[in-house]
Amino acid sequence: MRIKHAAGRYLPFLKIAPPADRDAVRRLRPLRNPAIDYALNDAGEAILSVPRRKDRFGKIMGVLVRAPEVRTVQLDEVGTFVWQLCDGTRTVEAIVKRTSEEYKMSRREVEISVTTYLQMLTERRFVGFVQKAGKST
Amino acid sequence: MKRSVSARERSDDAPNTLVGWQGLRFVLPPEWNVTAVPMSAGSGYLKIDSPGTMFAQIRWLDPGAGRPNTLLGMLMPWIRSALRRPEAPRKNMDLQAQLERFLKPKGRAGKRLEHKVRPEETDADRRSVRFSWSGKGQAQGKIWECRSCGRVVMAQVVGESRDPVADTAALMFANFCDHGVDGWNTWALYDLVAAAPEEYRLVSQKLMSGYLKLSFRGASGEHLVIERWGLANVTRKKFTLSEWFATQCTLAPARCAVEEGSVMGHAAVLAAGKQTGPLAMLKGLRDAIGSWRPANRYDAAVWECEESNKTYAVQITRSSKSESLLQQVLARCECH
Repeated sequence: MRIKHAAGRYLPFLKIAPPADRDAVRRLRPLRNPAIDYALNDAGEAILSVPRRKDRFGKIMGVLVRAPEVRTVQLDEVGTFVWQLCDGTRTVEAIVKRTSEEYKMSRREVEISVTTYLQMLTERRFVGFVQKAGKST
Repeated sequence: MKRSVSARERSDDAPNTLVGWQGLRFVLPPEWNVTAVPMSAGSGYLKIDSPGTMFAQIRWLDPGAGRPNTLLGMLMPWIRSALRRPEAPRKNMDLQAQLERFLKPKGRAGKRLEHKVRPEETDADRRSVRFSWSGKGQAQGKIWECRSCGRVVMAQVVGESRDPVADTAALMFANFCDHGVDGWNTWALYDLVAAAPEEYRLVSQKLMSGYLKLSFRGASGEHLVIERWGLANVTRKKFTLSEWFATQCTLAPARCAVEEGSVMGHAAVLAAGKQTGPLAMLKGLRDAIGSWRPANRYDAAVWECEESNKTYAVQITRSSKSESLLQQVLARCECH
């Protein structure tokens, strides 16, 4: 990873982002992708309805693999809890604190789990991050 | 029949973080968490991070631990007792030299380091030197040699100039214990507070988010495993305690008596049995080299603490002579 980031620093055309600062990550405000609808099942777990990507890649893949227009993803109980907190107003720090209080876990343990989970949601474009009021990434 | 183990009274303030590792035991402010742990008992480095910018570092060295395990070394205590010769006095470590070596400027950042070293203090149990440094941040620390265990410990609290480093260091050093008490070592991290006999060595650990496991081995093949699962209200939704024991407690022999009981006021499953079969016999033969009583007895306790929302399991494989080992371990566990 260190080599990768060093390469990104000296070879900017590779577009490798530098490692995120822990404090900066804690200040981010996660926001659910508005294109994704969700509903809760009887067990209180969120069922996400994720529409197919509308960009060129999504269209090509849709034709090639006959992907459905909408696919569903089911989150577990803790995942649903964090998903519902991703409303663009709460920071990662606030979500960690709230989750830690809800499930009586130490802040450090929750921070590791929540940041990994949010990273996974971000990679799948399920959430983005609000940098300033009204501006999201 | 229900067996019961009472909770031990907490000696430290509840909101503070108790850290216990390899005989070291100290208290830090709330929400501090261990981020680096070593396996070795002889020497090691422990790092504890605060939620902010401060952190604590502890390095220790046990000069006696690295001694080669030769035949002469093993026979020497008997020879000494036969000849009625007292053990050679332990050579005092030069604390100032150790400290100077640590505080020596290193690299570009080190050049700006200004440090103060106070004169050596001696009390009944320790020889110690306090120090502080400032530069890119600030730190307060102490290096000492324990007279009873011979361990040399260097501990410091590091932070930025605005951080309450002095107060945190005062809290840490106020009740810093560098060796086990009454033959037991405290093992405490991430809300887990347990204890193991001093002679038991940590052989493996798993420190995962929501799951902790510490595994110890005794001198005669005894095995002690302490586990803690977080999110008990989620993970155990579909399992009873007996089912949890059956699926998670892998050391349990095929035939063991499982009964309901209580541990620290919580409903628990207590199990006891004996390991039988050819593999257990071979293991018993191997253990018989060190002890005539093989560690083939199995005891376990699994309980859920509603207050801390955690599930705990303690498993022990022991010899017939240590009948009450499980009860002693449980008496030293703290779950809420």
